Amino acid sequence: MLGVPDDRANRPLPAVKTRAGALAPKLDEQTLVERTALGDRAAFEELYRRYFPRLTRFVERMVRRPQVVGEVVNDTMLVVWRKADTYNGQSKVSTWIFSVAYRTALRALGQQREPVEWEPPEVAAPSEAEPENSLSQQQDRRILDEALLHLTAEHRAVIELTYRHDCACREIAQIVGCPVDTVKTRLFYARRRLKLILAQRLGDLR
Amino acid sequence: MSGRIVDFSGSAHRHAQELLPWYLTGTLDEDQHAVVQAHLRSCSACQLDLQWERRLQQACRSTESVWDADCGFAQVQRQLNASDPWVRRLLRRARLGLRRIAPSSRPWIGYAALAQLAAIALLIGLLIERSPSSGEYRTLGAAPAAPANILVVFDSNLRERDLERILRGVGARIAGGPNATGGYLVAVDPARQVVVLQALRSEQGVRLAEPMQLGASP
Repeated sequence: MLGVPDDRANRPLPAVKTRAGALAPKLDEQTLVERTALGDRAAFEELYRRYFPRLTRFVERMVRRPQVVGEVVNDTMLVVWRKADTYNGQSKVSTWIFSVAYRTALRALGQQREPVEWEPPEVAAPSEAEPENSLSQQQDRRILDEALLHLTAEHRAVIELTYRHDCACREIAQIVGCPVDTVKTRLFYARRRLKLILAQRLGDLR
Repeated sequence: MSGRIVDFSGSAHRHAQELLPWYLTGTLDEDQHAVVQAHLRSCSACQLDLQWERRLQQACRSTESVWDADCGFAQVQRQLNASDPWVRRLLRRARLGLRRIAPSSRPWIGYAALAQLAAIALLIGLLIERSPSSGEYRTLGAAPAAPANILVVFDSNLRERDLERILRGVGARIAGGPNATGGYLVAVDPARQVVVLQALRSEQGVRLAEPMQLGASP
């Protein structure tokens, strides 16, 4: 049974309508998972829509191939639909869903027969129209995108979860299924590698 | 800046270095936050690193997803409809219905309602069995299922309810699919196959509708 707080246990579940029903009450995520476990498609749709932007961003960063991003996100949410009754409430809903997405993305990378550790493409040299000392945020992003290609999928995932999704170290450890110290070390080395690549690319980023 | 010499090989510096990203995002616990803050006061290298971290964070956050949730959900719905057998869906709905009428502290209310429904179904079944049979009467379950005889590929943006409307409109039912190319096998009365094909092809949401030979696979 789901780990629902006692004060909610005796209440009948409130109705959920989604965008299609023009009414989307802000139910908490645990209630949505609980209702999904009972087969409520409207609750599932609400959960899907809430997580869709975050998941696509995360998976995009991990698998790098647009043609499989949608597939991985949908596979993730189908697992959520089928396994909602196994969610025990011990971690946050987001931690659970992201851990499913992480495993699904790694599996997708494996199916592409592409090693998780791979040889990245050459980093392009800065163009003349791009003065090294006056990089805009957009340029920063593009250069970062390029630099991230030099990291492993596991390293990219930790970077994304930390800086983009504001996940705490312990939460990331639960998502990627490794000890907290491993996450710290993984991020430490990912940042160090990024710095080297970016320094090579920009010269003065530090 | 204190001008103090920082021991870069020291564990305090390494520890602070490891925690800097989470210091930046405000997700450290109180003790860890205090440790990093104290170290930052005396370490110019970490202060510089913090600026770098901030820039990295901004770059990471400056993109938004360009994917369409409506389209994604429509695909999931199709997969759910195809993979979730109707019996399982019915059971889930029954559980959901019971949950609505019966709070978990009194689950017997739900079971009582279920037992009542089962009893009513049994009585109806008995009545039907004892009613004079004309010989032509068949329950839906007893009707031999017509084999699939049309392959239909719907527009990928078609909503589930429009898909159902189209099929209901021509009197067809889904017998299988979607396959790898998004094709559905549908079954119609063989005598109406040509008419149904024409009707399907005239629908905007249908990309392809082709007759199938008996026993053929798409």
